[in-house]
Amino acid sequence: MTAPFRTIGQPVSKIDGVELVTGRARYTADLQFPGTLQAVARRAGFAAGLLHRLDVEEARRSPGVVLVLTPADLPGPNLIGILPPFDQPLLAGPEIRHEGDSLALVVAETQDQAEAAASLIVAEIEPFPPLLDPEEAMRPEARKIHPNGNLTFAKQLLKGDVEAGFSLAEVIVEDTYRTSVQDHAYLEPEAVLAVPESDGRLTVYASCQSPFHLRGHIAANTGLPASRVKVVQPFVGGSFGGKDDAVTEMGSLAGAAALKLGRPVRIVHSRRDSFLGSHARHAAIIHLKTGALRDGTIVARQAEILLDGGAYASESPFVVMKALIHVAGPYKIPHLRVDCRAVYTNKRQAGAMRGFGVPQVTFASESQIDALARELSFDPWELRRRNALTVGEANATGQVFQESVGLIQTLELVKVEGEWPACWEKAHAGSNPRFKRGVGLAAMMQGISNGAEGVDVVGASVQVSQDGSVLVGLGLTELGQGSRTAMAQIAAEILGVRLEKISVRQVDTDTVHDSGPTVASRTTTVGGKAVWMAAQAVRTSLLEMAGLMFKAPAEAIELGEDLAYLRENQEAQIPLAQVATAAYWTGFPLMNLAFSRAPDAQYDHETHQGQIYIAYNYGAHLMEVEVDTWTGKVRVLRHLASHDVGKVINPLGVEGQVEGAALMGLGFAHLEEVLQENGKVRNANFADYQIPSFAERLPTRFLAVEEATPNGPFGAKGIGEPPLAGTAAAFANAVSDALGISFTRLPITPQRILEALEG
Amino acid sequence: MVRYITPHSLNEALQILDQEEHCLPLAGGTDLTLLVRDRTVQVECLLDISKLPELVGVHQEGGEIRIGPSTTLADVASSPQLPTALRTGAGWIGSPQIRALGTIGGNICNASPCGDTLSPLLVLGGRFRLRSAGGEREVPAEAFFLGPKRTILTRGELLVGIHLPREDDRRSTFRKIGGRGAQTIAQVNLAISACWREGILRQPRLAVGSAAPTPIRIPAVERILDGQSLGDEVIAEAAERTAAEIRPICDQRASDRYRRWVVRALFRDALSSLTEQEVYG
Ligand SMILES: Cc1cc2nc3c(=O)[nH]c(=O)nc-3n(C[C@H](O)[C@H](O)[C@H](O)COP(=O)(O)OP(=O)(O)OC[C@H]3O[C@@H](n4cnc5c(N)ncnc54)[C@H](O)[C@@H]3O)c2cc1C
Repeated sequence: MTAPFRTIGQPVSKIDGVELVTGRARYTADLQFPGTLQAVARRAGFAAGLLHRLDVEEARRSPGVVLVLTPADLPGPNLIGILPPFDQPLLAGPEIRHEGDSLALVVAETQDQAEAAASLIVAEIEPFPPLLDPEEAMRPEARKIHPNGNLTFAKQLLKGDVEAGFSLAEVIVEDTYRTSVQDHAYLEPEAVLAVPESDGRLTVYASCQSPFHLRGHIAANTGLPASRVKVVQPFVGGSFGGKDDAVTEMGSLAGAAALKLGRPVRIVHSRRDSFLGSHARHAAIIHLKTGALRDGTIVARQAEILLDGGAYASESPFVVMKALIHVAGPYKIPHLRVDCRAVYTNKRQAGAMRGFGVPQVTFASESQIDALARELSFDPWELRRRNALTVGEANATGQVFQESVGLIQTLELVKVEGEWPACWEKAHAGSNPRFKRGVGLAAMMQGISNGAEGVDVVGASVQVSQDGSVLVGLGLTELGQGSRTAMAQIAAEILGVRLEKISVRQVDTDTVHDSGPTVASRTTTVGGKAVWMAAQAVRTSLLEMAGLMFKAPAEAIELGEDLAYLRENQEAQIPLAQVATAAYWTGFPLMNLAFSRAPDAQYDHETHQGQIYIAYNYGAHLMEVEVDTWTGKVRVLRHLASHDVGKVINPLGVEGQVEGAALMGLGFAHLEEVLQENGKVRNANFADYQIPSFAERLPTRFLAVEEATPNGPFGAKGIGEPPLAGTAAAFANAVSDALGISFTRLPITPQRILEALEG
Repeated sequence: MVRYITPHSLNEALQILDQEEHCLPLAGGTDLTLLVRDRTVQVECLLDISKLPELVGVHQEGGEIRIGPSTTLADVASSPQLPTALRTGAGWIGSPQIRALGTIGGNICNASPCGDTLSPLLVLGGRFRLRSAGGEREVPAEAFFLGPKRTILTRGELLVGIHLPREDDRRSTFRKIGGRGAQTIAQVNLAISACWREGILRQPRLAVGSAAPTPIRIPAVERILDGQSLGDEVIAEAAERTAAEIRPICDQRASDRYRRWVVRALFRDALSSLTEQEVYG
């Protein structure tokens, strides 16, 4: 296509924005079907123990109750998970592994009746002392939470010869970093609605992230063939990784109940249910050691990472991989040894959450880069620049990219726009005894696509109607990130239609190819590529038809503004609707189902050396803060976030993603921590678990770098996750800089700041 | 099923409360409905007193200001005739939505140690008028609170008026700290009122919330400050003493140590704004 673009790169509002802000968008909890029943799970309430007796008789007799589902009532294996062998029961027992284990599902005419009945269930549980500390859970004598022990998954990355690397080092820094459990805290808690259809099929409406994954588990657990299960995703009020396993559990239970009763069954989590029964971010303990030469060249790094996976494996294996690969940061380090493990504990299970292990290790890595700079008396920006990955250099897995490595450009941008190092000197020139200023930097990278986490395929459909309007379908989901709009822009650009003519329908597993999960910042990259391919195929039909109409070769024709026109004589135009109508009557295909497949990861499974991700997003952040040493409160004065996104598809969409991820990063670094005492969540509500409010919104400024990747549409790479890690790490470094204290644990709450200051 | 009753007059409301066994008054419902929803309180009927004209509005009567308990927090926050500490405290509660529904009477009768209008009422010489079908009594604000969610209200009794003396030469101020910058429960809040003339602080009153089972006055510090010109030493002593006098708990919102540390900052900030001068010490 010839430049300039008409839609790509233009700031366009979300195509579903009006529905979202006027309340017209309908969520799973809003859907109405006659005779819908409400269901509530009875939870264990103990972190660990043995269920001796479950008495549901009184609950069964309670007003409005139509069914109490127990494990014996489930036709399938009563198991879910991400990687086989699955280890999470839908309904637990006799072994209780965490407070939120569901024991039974009460189905009643109303929500109130279901809740009242759930409290009447008698569960006799012999409590065990819960295993809460991941290091303790790793001891050989520790009680086994699962039959094969408490190690969920372990991987090693080896590059070069780490001993030899450290023997070259002139300076070595070493520390242990800790991060806490963060909740997704989406506006809309998890929800499903299972509707048995008259043709024997089952439709499950779900506020979910990965509809095909859900379909597979529902089929297995209800005993239906997968082809008889249809999962439909209505509008979703945020997911951030959270609406995989929990919704799989809910969908399978609701499905089983609906089939048994022949009536629609809905489960909507309360906020408390969401805190107890969904999957949060892994807490991490990261021991990190880095060696460098006096001139600032990093020669070796060694890391031991321990992830607290909670009661079930869920996404732990993949988070292990991601943390393993990213703890080296965006640096060319010749010698690396990384050991990464996830362990079971008797706590709320951890799973996928925006960043997927990268925020934890980026915090550790970037804190250590600052420590190294201090040790070397080196400017922290220069130290990052000196070791920064470039085109042609091997990253942690030995992968070498020949294009699309924009790290240095992001570093240069934050340096120039942030006026580093003058800003640092100014921040430290003040002499206010109460308010202390500091500036923090962070550099990072994040792999785009599933990479080593499995095959990466996405299906998309593009269909042009005779009136020239377009319907796009995709197997990946809109979770609020704006993917519908980005897909519409891609199709509009290729087909030459205006954005208003495009509809992007909700995901429905009947109509698109199984596209795997909507994760890993891959929707725009891999999903966008599928839309690009499907649109190109239909474009070919339109160009050929227009060629017949113009009596000109197809190459002489361009599409744009709902018109087909001659490149050489733009006055010669035919409305696209006429071209489409003619194409239909002539017999040209106006629909295409495309299938994009990212190159497979190829690597050595012992050392993790090889080609893992199709591209990386690179970023640099600069944050200036002011800390109130009397209260521990932190005000963020400035925040520059530069990322190499390959190509900006929609500037408004990118800014929204950067600002949202940044705020979530601030929550992770400063405010949020799921408190678990004796295995019980103490702050399972938004009064006690405080996420950033509008008062905390950041002055984030996004600085785009566009180093195109051949693997994404128009060169685009994902941006949904990376700014979270960059913001959190820059925040930690800024506060540490302001106070001259190295904080090695997140979140750095006002209380922890005062504890550090008051000693 | 919980019954919902709308009385037409205060008298009718008092009669109903007298006769009904398990009936609770409902004002804005921002505290009560949550408790009913999760079955923490058992009620058979809710008596909506939010629209009773006798209970709504801010009135000046002689040397007094009378606030109807069903006046919303939004109205309290924006009533210019009310003292600064009370307006500020009400304005810090929850979000605009909560302040549009929630009332000052509900904040008082809910008797949470962290209620943001309570420490202001203590330093403004507030008095509460309580009435039941059987009669009426008036008590100083300090005597009203017994513990978290516990007051001297007896069955069938309503708070019907909040009275503040008009003290034109008294200034007041309020400070709060919570987990974040807005819509947050106080980890500590604090109110000060005093006469401030010619660089001397007179008749100061200090109260702290979220620092003991009830909001409390701190007379020891009031004595330290009375008649003082606020040099660094006096302020330092008073701030330390405030931290020493409170009895905070350690819970999921903050540790007791943190509450003691930050109460000093709130105290200094409040004093700075009261006297319109930077206060260190
Ligand atoms: C999201 C949220 C945020 C909040 N943030 C804050 C905050 O920052 N600070 C804060 O202090 N509070 C906060 N609250 C609590 C609440 O909003 C306030 O306490 C409010 O003032 C309660 O007033 P109400 O009219 O809603 O009381 P209601 O819920 O109607 O009543 C509360 C109690 O008082 C009793 N009652 C009410 N009026 C009378 C009367 N006249 N006589 C006798 N008894 C009476 C009721 O029976 C009930 O027991 C918050 C609540 C929510 C839901």
